[in-house]
This record gives sequence, structure tokens and C-alpha cells, in this order.
Amino acid sequence: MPRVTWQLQNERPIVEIYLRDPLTGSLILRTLLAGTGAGHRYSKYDVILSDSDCQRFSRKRGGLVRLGGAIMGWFPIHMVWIEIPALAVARRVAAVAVLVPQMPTNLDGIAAFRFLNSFTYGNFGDANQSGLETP
Amino acid sequence: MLTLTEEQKKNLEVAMQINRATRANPQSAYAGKYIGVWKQQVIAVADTLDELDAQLDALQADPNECIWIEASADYDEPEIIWGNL
Repeated sequence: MPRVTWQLQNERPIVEIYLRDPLTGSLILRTLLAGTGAGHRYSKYDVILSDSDCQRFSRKRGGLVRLGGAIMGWFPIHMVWIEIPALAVARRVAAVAVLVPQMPTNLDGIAAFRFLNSFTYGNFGDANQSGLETP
Repeated sequence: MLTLTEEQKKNLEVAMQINRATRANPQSAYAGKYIGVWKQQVIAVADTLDELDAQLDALQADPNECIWIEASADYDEPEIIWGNL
């Protein structure tokens, strides 16, 4: 069962992913808040990224999603390619594009519950970390 | 950020019509699927975004024109993000 863990950042759980640039193929690291409170199991998105990241890394344009709570409004959905090399994960996901001021402080976005729930996730018994595990 | 091209707007309108019809009819062939719309036609139907992307690329669908959605999703329902960001 491959597992990857990360130290809490500002005492908050994070997930590190790589976004693949569709034009150059390069992988760019992004650090996301592990947001179990972001959406639900059948949400229409996996991650929330900045508008500029979605513009750069979008493969195809999706519809619009209406968000509420900590981020409010209608936002576009993009298909982006993400990788987590330590887990041999490489897949397209649905990313919501929001403006930078709406993002979590000092982070590049949010890994939403639909995404986290596709893994085994948690601190694996260590209060100083968060992580993901695949079967 | 919210700007869609004219072609994307047309394709999104078609996609949302299919979305409403699919939600009204769970027996629809599109139920539970991702669909890709280009030139106001459904050109791709897939179980995953990986499959959808591959189909759209194989058809050389213009990424500046095509639109994809989850055919059964409720796009009117607000998705709540709890917590202090």
C-alpha cells in the first residue's frame, strides 16, 4: 500500500500534487489544503486552483459550478492532469478556477473531499502530518 | 476568468440541455457519464475524465471550443466549502 505523507503546514493538513503543462509536458509542484470540508462525495470537482493555474494547465473546459460558504459564486471547471509520483498516481481531475484572494493563505488551492475520498487519507497516527495512501 | 468563447457558450447550452434531460430520465444513455460536446453535438461519452480526454483528443476536438460536463450532476446545487481559509 503506497503511502505519502507531508508535514503540517501552518498546522494544517496539506497535499502536494504536480500539475502537467499540456503544452510543454513539464510538471509543476502545487501545495493544496487537504479540505475535507470542501464539497461532498459526489461533488462536481476534485480540486480548487487559482485562475492562473487553471488557465495554464487546463486541457479542456468544463461547465460552471456554484460554490458557497468560504468561497461564494459561480466558477468555471477545467480538466487538469495531476500527478502524485510517490503513489504512481497520474489522472485527469476536475479543477475549479478561483481568484487568488479567495485561496487559502500561503497555499496554492484546495484538495476537495471528492479527491481525498478516492484515497485512504489522514495522519496515520502522527499528529504532525497528513497523507494519502492507495490500495 | 469566466469568459467563454462563442462556440463554448453554444456547446455549454447544449450540454446543459442534455444535463437537464438526463437528470429527468435516469435511464438515459448518458446517466452517470461524462460527455463532451463540440459543434453542438455530443461527440464523446465516457466513464472517467481520462477516457473523455482521450476520446476528445482522438477526434481532434478544439479545446477552445469543446465543453465537457457530468451528465447526471446537479449544476444548480451550490457546493458548500466549510471552514476558515
